[in-house]
Amino acid sequence: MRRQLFFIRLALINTFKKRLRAVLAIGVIALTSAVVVVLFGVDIGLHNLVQNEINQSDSTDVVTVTLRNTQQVKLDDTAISRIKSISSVGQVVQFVGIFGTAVLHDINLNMPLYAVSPEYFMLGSTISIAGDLNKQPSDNNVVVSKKVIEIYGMKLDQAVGQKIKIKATLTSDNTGSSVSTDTKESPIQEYTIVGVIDRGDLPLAYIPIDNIKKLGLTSVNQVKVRLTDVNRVGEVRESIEQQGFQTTSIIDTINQVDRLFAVIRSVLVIFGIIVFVVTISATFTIISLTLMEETKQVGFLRINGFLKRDVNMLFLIQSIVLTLLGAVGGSILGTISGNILNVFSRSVASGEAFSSDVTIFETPIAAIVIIIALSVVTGWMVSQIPIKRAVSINPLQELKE
Amino acid sequence: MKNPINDIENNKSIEHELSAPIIETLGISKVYRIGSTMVSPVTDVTLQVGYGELVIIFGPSGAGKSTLISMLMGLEKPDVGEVFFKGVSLYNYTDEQRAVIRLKKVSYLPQTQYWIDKLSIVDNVALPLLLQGWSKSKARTKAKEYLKKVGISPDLKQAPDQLSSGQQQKVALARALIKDPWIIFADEPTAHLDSKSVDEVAQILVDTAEKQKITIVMVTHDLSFLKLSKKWLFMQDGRLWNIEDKQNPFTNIKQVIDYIEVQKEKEKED
Repeated sequence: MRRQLFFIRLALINTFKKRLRAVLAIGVIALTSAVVVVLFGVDIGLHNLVQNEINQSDSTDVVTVTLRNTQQVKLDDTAISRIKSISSVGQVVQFVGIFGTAVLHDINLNMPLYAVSPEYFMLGSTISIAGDLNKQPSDNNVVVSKKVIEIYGMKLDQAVGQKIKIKATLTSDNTGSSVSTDTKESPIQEYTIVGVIDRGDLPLAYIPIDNIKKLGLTSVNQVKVRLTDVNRVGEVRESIEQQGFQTTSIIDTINQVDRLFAVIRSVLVIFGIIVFVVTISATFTIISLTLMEETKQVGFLRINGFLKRDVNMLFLIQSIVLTLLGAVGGSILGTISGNILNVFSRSVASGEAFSSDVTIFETPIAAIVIIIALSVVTGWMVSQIPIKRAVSINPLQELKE
Repeated sequence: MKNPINDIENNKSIEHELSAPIIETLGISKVYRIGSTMVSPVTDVTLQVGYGELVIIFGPSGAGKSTLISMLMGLEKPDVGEVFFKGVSLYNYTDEQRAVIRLKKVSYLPQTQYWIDKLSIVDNVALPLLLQGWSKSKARTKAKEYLKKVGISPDLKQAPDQLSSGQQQKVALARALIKDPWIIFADEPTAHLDSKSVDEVAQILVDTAEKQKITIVMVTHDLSFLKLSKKWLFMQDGRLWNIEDKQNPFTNIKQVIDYIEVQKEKEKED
């Protein structure tokens, strides 16, 4: 054991004999490894961030049904009943986008108005920034966007419970009128604000669909279907599409995102291979130079009873010390840089635009383990040719020269 | 016949069996191919070195002395003939066993010293023991003892290359002696030294060897060693001659010395 410890000491002496060269080699390996760690970390972070945001918008067990471009088939009560009758279909919530006007303190605000079922928000994961969205909007309640509150000069914490008057306008598409210019206006009705959501700079409001149906709404733009069995998404979508509707699911987006990140990862793997080659070249050069400079040492040690396997071990340790230090240093550097990137991105990203903390870098544990394992393999690989040369030298001849 | 590996493993001191040589060769030759021609740096060398003997090998550069020593040390197998170490065929041992013999009981004192730069003189002297697996403290204690023996103050911080060449050679001598070797192969150990250092190194080497019954096989041009040895061999064109051998191309030692001097001058001119 003491002998082996001495070999390690000797290997370290040899490795750092030319300090600048060793530091440069380790630096190159560390820098390239750090870039790989950052890229893989950002890949994982962004992927998770995007997926998280997607998951926040809809659940995977929800299918959105919309009209085809032709609009020959309407999403009316009959169609909705047929959808409800499909096996595994649970909740069905309706949605229609109409034109609306809000009136408060004699200020009229034209804005999009969404008439929805009370379970609408329960199917997605929209988070209220004030009030409660549970089973809302119902009766004469309304959910508004933050912009509406701002326009009317209300404070966010005082908005819930405030009254607001809303007038809705239906077009012929909504009423099924054959005259395309036919519009129908609802009387101005007072609503109570029960929730506020963040939609950026867009003023809009969600009102109960039943209130609009009373005006003669015959069909809606969209229904969301929650399934009782998430594994039957495909079959349910097929049944709905057979009825002439178009369906989308968050799974589509997730698959697209996955495909995009698969491409990004392939690029990263290619980059990783380049890093691997750089590491091999740097280490091989250093080890070969060390051998050229240390042939006298090898000769001296061989004369003094150094076995071939001892020479092997000496060069192996030197090689692995370089690659391992580079890889570990690079992993630490990459992780620190990634976390700095997180702090920076959090400071520039609007917190309200994301449902949770913005984390664009996540420590890529698997990539780090692979980098470290590869560094050991690389160290072993690049030492083999110098080792072969070292054990084949004539010890006396080397010492004499 | 004793097995030297067993002796090493049992940590036995050398037995001076005057009847048997410690190193013996039987018609050893080494042949290399250089291009289309065959070169034989060592040809049919038969040699016997007794326990505790100081054997001096003279010869011009390129005579085959280093190849001979390499074969005697177990580093290079002869193409023809046998080398016996304490009566056992050296090349019947594995590479590893021969390395163990060198590790523990064979020392080499070269003309130009090799030092591990980052180690102090004490650690450089202790190196053969550290390679054997000794603890650093024990090896250092013994190294300091041997440095004192050769007249060098043991300084843990001083690097060997800070010493004069005479002092460096004394440190190298301490390093060669520290493992209590059975045999030391010395290759022109005083070649670059001033006459005072030559005398000092020669005296320490011979005195210690005599005291500890160490066998020395020395390749040298240095006449200072002539008076210290009774066995002189001359090597020329791969052949080794005993100076008293009737077939020897030279009739006396003076002719050998003159020949070597002429060769040296020629080398300088070249």
